[in-house]
Order: sequence, then C-alpha cells, then structure tokens
Amino acid sequence: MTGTVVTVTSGKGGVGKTTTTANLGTALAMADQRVVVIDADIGLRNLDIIMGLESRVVYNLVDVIEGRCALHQALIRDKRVEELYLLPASQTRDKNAIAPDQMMTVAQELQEMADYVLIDSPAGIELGFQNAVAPASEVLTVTTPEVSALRDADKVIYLLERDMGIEPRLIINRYNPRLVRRGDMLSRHDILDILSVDLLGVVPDDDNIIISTNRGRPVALDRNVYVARAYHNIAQRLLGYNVPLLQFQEKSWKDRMRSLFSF
Amino acid sequence: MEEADSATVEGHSSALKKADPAKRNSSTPPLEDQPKATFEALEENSEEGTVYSGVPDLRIKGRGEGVIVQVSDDQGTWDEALRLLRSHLERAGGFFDGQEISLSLGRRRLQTDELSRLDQLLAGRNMSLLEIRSLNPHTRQSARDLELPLTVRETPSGGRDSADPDLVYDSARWEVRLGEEVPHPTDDGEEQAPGSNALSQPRILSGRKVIAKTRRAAQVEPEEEPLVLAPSYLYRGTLRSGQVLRHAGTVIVVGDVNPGGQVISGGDVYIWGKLRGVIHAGAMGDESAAVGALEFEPIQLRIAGHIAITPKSESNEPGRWFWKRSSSGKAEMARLINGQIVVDPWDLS
Repeated sequence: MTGTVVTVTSGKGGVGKTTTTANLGTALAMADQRVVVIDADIGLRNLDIIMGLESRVVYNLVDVIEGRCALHQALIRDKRVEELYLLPASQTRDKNAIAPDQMMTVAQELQEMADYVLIDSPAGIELGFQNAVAPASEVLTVTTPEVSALRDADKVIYLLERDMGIEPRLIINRYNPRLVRRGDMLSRHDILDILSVDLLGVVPDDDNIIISTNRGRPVALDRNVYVARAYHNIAQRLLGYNVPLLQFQEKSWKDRMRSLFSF
Repeated sequence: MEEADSATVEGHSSALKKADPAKRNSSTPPLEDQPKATFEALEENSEEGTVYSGVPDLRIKGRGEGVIVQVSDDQGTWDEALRLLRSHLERAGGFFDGQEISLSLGRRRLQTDELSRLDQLLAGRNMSLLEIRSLNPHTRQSARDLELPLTVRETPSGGRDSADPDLVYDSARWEVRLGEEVPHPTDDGEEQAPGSNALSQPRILSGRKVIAKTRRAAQVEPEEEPLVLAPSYLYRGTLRSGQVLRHAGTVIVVGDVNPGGQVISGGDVYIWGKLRGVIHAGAMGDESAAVGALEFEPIQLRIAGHIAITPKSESNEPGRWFWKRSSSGKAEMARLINGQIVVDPWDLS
C-alpha cells in the first residue's frame, strides 16, 4: 500500500497548522487509517507538545536523516488511538539541517507503511516550508479570517501552484460566526473570493481547542465535543466523502453551562 | 448571513477566477527584443539574403544585476553596430567597465569572426559576455564555435524571466524607477468640486469622488527615442500576492489582481475582473494611460509619475468596511486629468 503524503501549510504563523495537523491526524486514525504525523518545524518543534507525547521523545527527524537511528526507533506511538504515530522534529537544530530530497526519502519510506503521512510545515516560505512540501501529493492551506493571514495564504498558494503544480485545499480556522454575522469578520465567501481554491473545511473558534492543546490532548479525541466534529468532518472529506459543512450556531447550552462553572 | 445553508463542500468557484493558472499568451506574441513592431513568422532561412543597410539600432539597458545590449537585426551592418557600441561605451566613461552583458541579437546572422570582434571589444574594457540571445541558428552555431555563452532556448514570445521567479512576464526588461523617494499619497479624501478644473468633457467626474490627492513623484526617466508602442499582452488567470506582471505595452488581465499582486505597464491596464492590487500604468512616462477594471478596488494606483490610493469605504455594509475600498460595484476607469487621478464609471458609449 502506498499512503498519501499531505502537507499542512499556511505562510503566516500562528493560524493553527500544528493544531490542525494533530487533530486531523487523530481524526484520521480514529477513522481506521494508519497515520504518521511528521513535525517539520525543526528548531521550534511543538507538534509533540500539543499531542501530549513530549515526554516520550527520544529520537527525531534529524536523527533519522543523519543516520543515528532507524526510522521506526524515532516514531512514537500515540496509545490513545489505534495506529497513530508521531515523528518529532529536533529542538536543538534549525531548518538548515535538512534538505528537500532528504525529506522526500523519509516520506517515501513512511508512505510504504502508512495510509496517511501528515507533515506539519513551519511558517514562512523559506527552506523549512520547501522541505515540508517537497514530498507532498496533497497540500492543505490553513488560514484564519484575517487580512494578513489571507495575504500570506495567497502567496503560499501561488508558490505551490508555480513550483509544485499543486493547488492546495483550504481550511479556515478560528472562524467566529457571530462576528461574521455582525460584519466584523471576513466570511467564508469573502475568503474564497480572494483565494479561489477548494474549501476542505471550516473550524470554529472554540475555547475547547486551546484547552485541549494545553493538556496535550487533541480535541478530536472527544467526539462529544462540538468542535471535534469539524475535524472529523475534514478527515472524512479527505477520505473522499461528501460531508456538509457544520451549521454554526451559538454554543450549545451544555457548553455554556460548563463555561459558567468552569474547569 | 450564511452558515444556515447545508451546502456541500464543492468549492467556491466562478468561471473567472478558476482560470487556468498556466497562463496562455495572446495569439500575437509580444516582442521581446525588437524595438520595431514586426510580426513576421520565424523562418530560419529568411536571413540568407539579408542586406543590412541603414544605421543599426542599438540599445543599452541597465537591468538589475546586468546590462543588456540589443542590436536590431534588420538594419545596419555589424561593423557599424560595433562602432556604435564602442562610441557608446566611450561616452559612458567607465560606467560599464567590468560589467557582464547580455547580448540580444534577434535574427541577425553573424559569423564567428564578427562575434569574436565583439568579444575583443568587450574584453578591452574588461567586460564579458554573460549570455547571447539569438534567434538565428547560424549565429548560434558561431557562438558555440567560439564557446560563447548561449541561452538554451530563445523564443520570440514572452515567458518566465528566470532571474525573478515571481515575475509573471517581462517584455522589455526595463526597470521602472519612480525616483529615490516615492512620496506617500495623502488620504485626506478631499472632495474636488466637479467642474472646478474647467473640464471640457461633461461626463468626467460624474458623481464620483476624486480619489486621494496625488503628488508628482520624481519623473520616470523618459525614453530617448520616441516611444514605440509594444503590442498588448493578454494574461488569463489571477495574479496572486507576490506576482508581478511587467510589460512595455498595454496589459489586459482576464482574471483578478489579488492584493499583493502587481501590474506594471508602459501603456494602459485593463482588468477583466477584480482589481485589488497595485497597478502602474504609463510606467514609462505616458500620462495618457488609463486603468480600467470591472471591480475597481486597487490598493494603490500609479499613472506615469503620479500615485494615488483609494480611500476606505465608509459604508455600513456588513463585512465590508475593512475590505472593500469604495467600490461602486460597476466597472470603472481611472485616468490622469490635470495632475489628478480621477476614477469614473467606465462609460462604454
């Protein structure tokens, strides 16, 4: 079986690439796929932190490429889900440590054993980004509904079209329907108007995401949490199913009660 | 506003924007290396009997990291061209010494001894050949025989400028310089009373606010020769953030110009789509240049040496105040009138 390599990019930092990669990987694994997520943000790694696997990191991507360990030694299995693995980045090196062809070798090897290889790209458009997209057959661009994020996303889409001939699919993150209704936030249509790429999904702005990130427990693990559904829907769409977009409403009364009494 | 629909995720597309990003040139390829607008088909044998009479047209252009020397391929003998080149270089003092030059020969047919005389001329001034661009197979062979650097493929139509990957198209390889300082346009949105400049055409300024005060930027260097109009260039597709399209003649874009995208043209610029980027029309000094778009919301507009911005919309339309810039929803066109950039409904009558 040859898996699919999907890189998650954005251009702008802080829009939610890592969170998206973690949750999407989790959701895919919960959909019975064998998933490997790779942290390509060498030097500023954080995928392991938000997945709660930080304490189990021994070897990393750079170790594998430089031959200090075998690939399977560096992979960390997330015990909460069947068949979800993490290949962490190095914290001590920087993005010049690896080259695109090396990344391709690692990704190809992982493709042989997994259904999906998700690569968490660093921000920017330099070598780190180029390394992360080099092996990709599919790219997801994450943006938030703000003008600066959109500008960077547009540039990234252009670079991907120009250099890789790939048109990425879009994930809109931190979407706030209430602000959109008030006219204070760009709507989904405004965003697609500019970027004109296919929309893969919309993730609402939800406190639960940050809470779960801090706990090292991706929110997708909890199916009963409303926002987790957004990630599961995206996973389903990635798998090829046609899932309607979530109907965004105000928080459910349960969530409102919960936030009243707080954690 | 939305979210109440249960639309499936098919992707938001409209025919206009989903144009193939692999741009397709117009059917008449713009000329890159020839100052005269000739449209003869490329025939490799057509130079067999060419007699070069007249004075050769020779242009030296500075461009970023190097110098381009263009020699017309249908006028003047090579000896005269070399003489011209020598006198240009002497007049320039030491300006070009040590430079690497790109030599653009069009279809001129040259033998090895002719090329080597050029090489010697350059070597005498410590200059060297970076590349030779030629459409003539005999010339290319001569260059190969002398082991002079040839560009791999030379096509008369425009294409990617490999030195600048964000450059979508660059016909004449000129650099537009607005002078050392570009003054910041003011955003005081002063209302210009219609008719205050004794405008003779009644349909100008019909109910439309004059966009921000313009200031005369340092003049663009005028061409020494009379402006030869290059043919128009048609680009199909959307110009994304970071993309630049440069052309000496009029540019027509079938698609949008996203914020962050740029068009620099020596002539007019027409956007058959949404204009949200930066446009410089009449970039070589032509103040009669115009800019038109179906949805006119540029971040910044420049016509010849003048620069202006559109003020942000003050409408209460939800979701629009930080985004749209005074778009009236109709096709509009901008022109320079009495030193001010004026935007009008695009009256097609």
